[in-house]
Amino acid sequence: MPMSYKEIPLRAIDLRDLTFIITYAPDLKSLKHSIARVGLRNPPLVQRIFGTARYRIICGYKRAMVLNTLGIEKVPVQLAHREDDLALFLLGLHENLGTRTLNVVEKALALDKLIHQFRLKREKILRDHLSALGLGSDPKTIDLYLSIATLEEPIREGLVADTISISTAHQLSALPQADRLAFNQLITALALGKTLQREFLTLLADLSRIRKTSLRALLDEQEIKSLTEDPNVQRPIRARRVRDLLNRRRYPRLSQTAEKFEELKKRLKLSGQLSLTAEPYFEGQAYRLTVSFHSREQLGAAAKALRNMAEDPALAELLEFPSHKQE
Amino acid sequence: MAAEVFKPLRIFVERSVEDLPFTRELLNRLPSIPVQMVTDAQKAVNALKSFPDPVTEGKRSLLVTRQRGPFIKRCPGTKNYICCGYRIINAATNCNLDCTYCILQSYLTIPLVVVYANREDLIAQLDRYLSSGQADFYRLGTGELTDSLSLDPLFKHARLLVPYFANKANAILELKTKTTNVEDLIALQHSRRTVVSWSLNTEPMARSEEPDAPLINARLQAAGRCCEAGYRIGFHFDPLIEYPGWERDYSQVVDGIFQHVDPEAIAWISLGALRYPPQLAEIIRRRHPHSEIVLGELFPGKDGKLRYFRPIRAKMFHHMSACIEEHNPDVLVYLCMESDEVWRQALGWSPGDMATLSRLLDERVQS
Repeated sequence: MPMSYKEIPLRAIDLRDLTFIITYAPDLKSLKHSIARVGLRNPPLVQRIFGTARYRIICGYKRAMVLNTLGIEKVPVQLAHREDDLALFLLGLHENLGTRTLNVVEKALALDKLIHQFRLKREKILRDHLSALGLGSDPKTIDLYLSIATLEEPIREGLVADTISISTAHQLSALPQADRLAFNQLITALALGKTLQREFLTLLADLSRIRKTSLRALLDEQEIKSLTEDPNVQRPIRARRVRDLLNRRRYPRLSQTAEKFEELKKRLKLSGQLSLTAEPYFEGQAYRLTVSFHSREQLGAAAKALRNMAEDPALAELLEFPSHKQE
Repeated sequence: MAAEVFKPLRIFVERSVEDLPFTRELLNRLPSIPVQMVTDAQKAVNALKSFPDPVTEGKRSLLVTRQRGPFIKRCPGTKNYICCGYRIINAATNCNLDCTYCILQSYLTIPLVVVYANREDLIAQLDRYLSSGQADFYRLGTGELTDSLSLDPLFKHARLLVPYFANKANAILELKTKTTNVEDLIALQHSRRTVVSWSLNTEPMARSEEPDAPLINARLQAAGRCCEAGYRIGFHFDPLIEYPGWERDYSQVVDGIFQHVDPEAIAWISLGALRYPPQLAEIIRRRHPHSEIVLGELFPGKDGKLRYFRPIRAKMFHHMSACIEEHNPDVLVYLCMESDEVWRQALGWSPGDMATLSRLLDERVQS
């Protein structure tokens, strides 16, 4: 690649020009320490902005930012003379790939630029670039990462900090901005882990479709807000309570049946030795009864309790339960 | 009504079948479609991998290949639910219709529309199977991994199979469809050894969940034509979908059946509620974002598939059975893949096991 070395004023570099830049949330501390101590060992690669006396960074954005914070006025640069922007972008990208690990957002920005800025076809991305970015060979990955590139700052930050999963971020990208930011706030307020994020998002997205309202409007409802923001309750407990509430709303008939089952169990007045459970989701009509004992007397007491249970009118009701006639 | 012919965007032909008569005839029917020869099916699958949605692309792509295993299989059924003991003829797999709930979206390892060109092997296998003595009577159908008639204007399986079964005293063929492609059937000699069945739903569900299939009235008219041509007729309400107003809408479809078809000709009506493996939910959400079927109250059943909450299913089956009985109490109504409890709750009786249900269905069509 034809290039020359020269020294230019730092202010001639337009640090807001992100044509070639994929750097996101860089940690500049160690680089700043290094440059302050031994100086700049590898000058940034720049391109002259056509028709002006200004330059844009191709590679070395972090170095230029550090130099800026250190108040350096003149900087040595490598000036690229080639005009093929795609080749320059790939040069910068591969220099980055060779020297550090790109974070999720940086990979998303790289794919976004290749497709939307440099107009590369998906087939070419799949063939030449996806695995170089460490993203395998599944074409769906392209869409996954492109969706990340559209997300707002707080969600990108969560991705880089690994507090938001890529699949959650992808799901969020399909929602209106207000909804995804509201959900991001919920993640923070309840400190939701990645599994719970997925579960909450599916519940909320379904509920918003069922009730024909926005996800944000659901989260703004007083009943949910008061659970989410209760300062007297620890976050995992708050999360459980909100999840229970959402499940009751999403699956009202199962919830009512489960409540009715608990009520019937109470009416049976089972002793502490007896534990009665229904089949998962009441899919079958069989019940499981567990008897706990550690003495002959206790077993006898349990047998008596079982006989009483068999005569109890609440049992007849339980055996017909749940019925489609209640529907 | 002229049958709509499925036109794929591309055809892959496996080299080992390129000279078979079926392949040549098929390619003659599709003169303008690009054809690519492949050494094996995987090459065709790989060709679709770069598309964002290989399932959609697969439904537009045809693979002509050789069936190297058995053409005939028993319905796999599902654990802990009563199966009807069906036997499946896999002459083709996949379907050009793209119904939202279709299990083929997650089931097929080869996402293309596949047709097997070695039809002489199919007939030889059928001969052996039906004379094997495994059973006294065989109910077989082609509509498990495809729609029996939607691709028939192209594949002409009915012309091969209907006359074949016309001469079999110990077997019956069922062709299950959502289409109106019955033109060929009308002229065929069938000797009442073929049941032509329609998968039905309500008009709103047909529009939203089966957008590529003909509307319900058209399906019922096609059933009426087959009835007039002397065929036995079957109906499958599967999947029943719960939504506001479902009772009224499904009742209307039942009314429609008895307006178009002589009850004496009805072999059976089956009922099955919406159910799907958990991984399909994600696919439905992605491929059919408008579909609301995933918003129902569905939970993992004893076979791991998501199913409507049991009382909802029982209520739907009870309602449908009552509607049918009101028109004609002699029509056999059965449940597809349901538990003994649901049979009893919804219909007041249960066959108890697969053998009994299978025998009941056989008896409907043995004479």
